[in-house]
Amino acid sequence: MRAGKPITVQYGGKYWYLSRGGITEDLSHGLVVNSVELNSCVVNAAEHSIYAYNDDIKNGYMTLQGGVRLGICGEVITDNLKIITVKNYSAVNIRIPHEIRGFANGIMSDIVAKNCSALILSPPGGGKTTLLRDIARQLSDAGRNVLIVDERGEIACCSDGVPSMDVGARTDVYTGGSKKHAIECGIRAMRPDVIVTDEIFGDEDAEILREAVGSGISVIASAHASDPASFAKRAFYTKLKNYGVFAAMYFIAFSDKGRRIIAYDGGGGSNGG
Amino acid sequence: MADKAILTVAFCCVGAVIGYMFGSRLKKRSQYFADIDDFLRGFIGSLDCSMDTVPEIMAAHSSGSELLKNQLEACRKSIGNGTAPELAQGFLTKAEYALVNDTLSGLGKLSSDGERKNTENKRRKLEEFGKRASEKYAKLGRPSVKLGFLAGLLVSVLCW
Repeated sequence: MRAGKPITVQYGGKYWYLSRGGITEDLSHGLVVNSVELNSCVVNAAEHSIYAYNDDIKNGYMTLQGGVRLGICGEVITDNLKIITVKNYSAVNIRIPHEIRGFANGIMSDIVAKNCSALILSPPGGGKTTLLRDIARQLSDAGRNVLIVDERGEIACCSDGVPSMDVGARTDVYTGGSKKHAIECGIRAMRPDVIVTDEIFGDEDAEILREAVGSGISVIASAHASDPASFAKRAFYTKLKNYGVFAAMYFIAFSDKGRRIIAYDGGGGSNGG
Repeated sequence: MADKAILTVAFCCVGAVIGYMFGSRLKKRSQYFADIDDFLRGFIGSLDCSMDTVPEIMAAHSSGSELLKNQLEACRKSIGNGTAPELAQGFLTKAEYALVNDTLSGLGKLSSDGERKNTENKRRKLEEFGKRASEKYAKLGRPSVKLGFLAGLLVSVLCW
């Protein structure tokens, strides 16, 4: 939803507009939302408790019950360069999670053969979180202790501490906080065999994953990338490669026939799909 | 003579009852403002620690005032429905009701610092209304039964 623009819906890899009669390809019938309605949307989503969600709002998102995520754009208010809050919302992006059981079937034997060490790549909206969720479930049900480090609550979608998604019978979930804190606490207290985490980014994440691997724990993670070649040019990827954090890499690619998971070795070379 | 005695007793009883009802109303008003002050202080306090949501705080608050209970319940339901709350006015004056409505329906729209300052500001304004209500209760509410009785007696004497 963008202020002053028709409401857009993405479904099945295609964009539509929301009209009074449902979704349509006709822009002229699209319902237009104004800034007051956008504000109401955010306030209502926060159960009239913006202060309780302010830390997330400062980071540009809110995670609601069931793992629904609201991405928020607006005016950032700062005080001496410290972000206080975001107001005057200009756009809200609502992402609804879903499970696809069996999504990881094609790569599970490869993941297990490579000691459950894997990096999942795709552009935004590609299905990384959905794939991670299924991988966690399958590894957990196969007898491994899985620790999900779920910074934004999107993998397990916990509500009152209970996962809304099926993430397996032997899975522990840390929701919120930082990856570093969750992984440190998890390694000390939860005896994980595998750590599953979403959207790694930057040197701090690379360092903490290195610590986890150094403790004898496998890591399965995801990262944004338009393609493996461009991801390989990023500085923190070089660190991950040098630390030997991941034995395998998978890229979720879109084609006319739908999604395809292409396997690469940890060095970035393709093994086909 | 007996008629006058019965008339006097009747007027005194009616006067006492009216006095009691008047005193009750003043007591409820005083209780209401004490309760809403308690609620807002609790809400401000939660901003520093538990960060509970507005509906959670409203549901957890136990109030002696029936009017405040109903208002918090209406607010809580409206938040759940995403609609504007319709609060009962009860014994509140127009100005009091406008401030209460603005306060309760405006909770939770700011970051914690802004919320704290805004809510404290409104709490202080409501505190002024509360002071007047409790002063009025102290002056007129407590002796209201006696005053009603005496008023009834006066009316009956005038009627003799």
